[in-house]
Amino acid sequence: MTAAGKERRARSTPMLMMAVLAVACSLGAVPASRVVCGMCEEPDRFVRLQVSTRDRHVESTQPFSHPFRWSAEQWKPILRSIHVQKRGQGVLFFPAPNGPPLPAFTPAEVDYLSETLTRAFAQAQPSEVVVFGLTSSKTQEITEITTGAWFVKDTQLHLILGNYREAVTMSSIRELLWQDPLHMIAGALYEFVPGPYQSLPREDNGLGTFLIPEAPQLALTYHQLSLDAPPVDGGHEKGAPPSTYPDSSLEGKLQRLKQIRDDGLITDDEFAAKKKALLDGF
Amino acid sequence: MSNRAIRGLIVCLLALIGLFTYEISYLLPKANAIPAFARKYGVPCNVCHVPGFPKLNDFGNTFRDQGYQFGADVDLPTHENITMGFWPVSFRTTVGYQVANVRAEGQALASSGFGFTGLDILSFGILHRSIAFGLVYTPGLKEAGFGTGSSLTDNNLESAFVRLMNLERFLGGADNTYWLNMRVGKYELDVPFSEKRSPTLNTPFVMYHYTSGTIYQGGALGGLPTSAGYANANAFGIGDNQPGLELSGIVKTATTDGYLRYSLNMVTANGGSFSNDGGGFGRSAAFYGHVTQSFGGYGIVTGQRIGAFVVAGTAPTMCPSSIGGGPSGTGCVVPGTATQGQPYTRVGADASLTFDGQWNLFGAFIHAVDSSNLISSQAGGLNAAGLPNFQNAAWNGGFVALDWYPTQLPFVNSPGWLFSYRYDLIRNQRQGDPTFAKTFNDVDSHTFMARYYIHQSNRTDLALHAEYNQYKDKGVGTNGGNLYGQTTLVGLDFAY
Repeated sequence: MTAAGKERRARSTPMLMMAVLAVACSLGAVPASRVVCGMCEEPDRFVRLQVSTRDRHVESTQPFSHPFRWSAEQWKPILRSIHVQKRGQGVLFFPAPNGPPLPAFTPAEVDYLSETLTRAFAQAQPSEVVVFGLTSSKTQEITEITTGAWFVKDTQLHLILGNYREAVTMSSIRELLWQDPLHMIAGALYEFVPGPYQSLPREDNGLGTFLIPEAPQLALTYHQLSLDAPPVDGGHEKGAPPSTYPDSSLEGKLQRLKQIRDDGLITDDEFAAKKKALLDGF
Repeated sequence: MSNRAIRGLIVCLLALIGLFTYEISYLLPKANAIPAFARKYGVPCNVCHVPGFPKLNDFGNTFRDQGYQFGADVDLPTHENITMGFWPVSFRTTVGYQVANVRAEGQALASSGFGFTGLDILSFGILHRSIAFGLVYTPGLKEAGFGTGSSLTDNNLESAFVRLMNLERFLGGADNTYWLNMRVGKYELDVPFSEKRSPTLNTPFVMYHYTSGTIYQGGALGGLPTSAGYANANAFGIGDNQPGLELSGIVKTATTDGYLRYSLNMVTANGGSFSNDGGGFGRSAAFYGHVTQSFGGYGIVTGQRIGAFVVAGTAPTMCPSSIGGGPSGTGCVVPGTATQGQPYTRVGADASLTFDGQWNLFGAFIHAVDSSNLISSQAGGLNAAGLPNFQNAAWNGGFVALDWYPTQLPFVNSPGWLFSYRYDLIRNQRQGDPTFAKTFNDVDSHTFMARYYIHQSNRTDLALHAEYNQYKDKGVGTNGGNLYGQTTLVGLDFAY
């Protein structure tokens, strides 16, 4: 081979390599997302809807149980019930214990998520998941970011944590997580601590492809959890409209009664009799 | 099957191996050991690095400047949150495939093969609050190298230093301001842009190591018909780790929303001696200073930065008569015992511009002068023409580089990429031996690099690395022809 030929060959090698890499790494496309309310999109936090694409979610062939209507008051106890713990980092063959269980969300985050998840889930389509991002300042230079996704499937509410309290110093990394909340920037340092009516699904959560490692996932049997929640909220049934009255009030009781009738749990006659009894006692 | 087809097949197989490794990295459980700081603080590597380590981002540079500490209790190795997982030692190497060829005067040398770049064993941290340390050991490994020989000659304690931080508090200053720190030991000078932290793996910053009269990359030329050049007693390169003492500091400047940094060093260049039995003070000494000012950030990811540096040193030319005398270098039986130091200087400037947090355009310029005595002493006082004519050697060098670390690669929306292009050049202004052409040993070097973060966790890093370099060394063939070289490296760079 001539010297010129060798030079061409040497030049073609990196080009070929980069072309192979570019094609191979082109599978991580970010799905489209949409904003659902004004307060859902703030500079340091967001909740929005994102289309669950097939390459990012193998279960997307089965639509989610969306829209899903819950009040903010119904969300709060659920959010407070979620706990995480830091994974112990051992060295070589010596494991280290996990950290103590901690509430996954701060009170301020519970307030924000309860309001925005209510709005987002009410507008979610069966092909969409609700993604979120939260930030908190650790130091002047370091921001901790939590991102993930929620979806409802059958009788279970699912939460996937893409990143939990991950330290970030570069704006481009934050921007990446804002665009793709389920992109894990590092291995999961935290794991869920399942409580009552909560479980850790063993099956692939569908978001772990060869481009995205498996993320911690929690499944919550929301019906049971909401039944056990303090009686300050309205209807517990999936698809129930948001309630503006506490259960203990006459309005709340009537609304609850109507919901039960609409769901076919009681007949019209039973509904009328019970309604009369409530009004008589007023 | 032709050689070309075989070569292409090997490259494709390597790419597939890379992708396979990439997938495997997600299937395996996370290793319980990490690069030291990520493990210590429980943060991902891109807290301190731009994607595709090892280039430091703004925060990482500040963290380094402040002696590897946040100024909080969590820094201490005895802190309760420091678990067994903290083991302040990291390893780094690159495994892969390299193709290299050089040619001059119609002859060519080619080599290719699998191998690894050597091994860095690193340990950095703090011994106590405001007392930092660093160790880098690069063992010479017989099996290292990409078919071009082992790295036995690189067996080296590359860095070993202790750094006392915040000395200003003893002078009445406030604590944790970091404007007066002192480092003693062997370390990388505060060069305009760290070569150790450069994403390019096997392409040196030419101006950091260039020596007037010495053929660039001369060690890799084998039996090619190239000129021997002329000997120069000065082997100082600002890119070479040097033993010495450094006073440095970093100050946040409110008016520029940036940082003022300085580094003043007194080093025994290239393992020489400040004072010895035959010479006296300064025989192998160099003084290096670098100052930078940034605006709107640190100047690597955000903001802009300008800087200037200067070197004034002396290099030994002769060995003492007690050990045989003669020119320094190969004639010196005991390294660092040469005498009759002769002067050399380097002055330069650097700048770094950033855009959108994803682009970094940076470069540096250097003007170098070596005393004619540094050359004449090595040639027995006669030049290549047999005449006693020598002159101060002078050359200009520089580089300009563009790094791009996109949030996500356009069109394919894939994060974790780092691309880089760098152009290095050397232009001789005056040869020490005037019988050589003025343009003799002028260098042009182009480096292209792409890196992809295959895997990143709070414990380990793995990047797929592709790097291509081509260079031209002017007029160094035996008949005055140019020397051309190309190197392609494709490998997996990992830190543990």
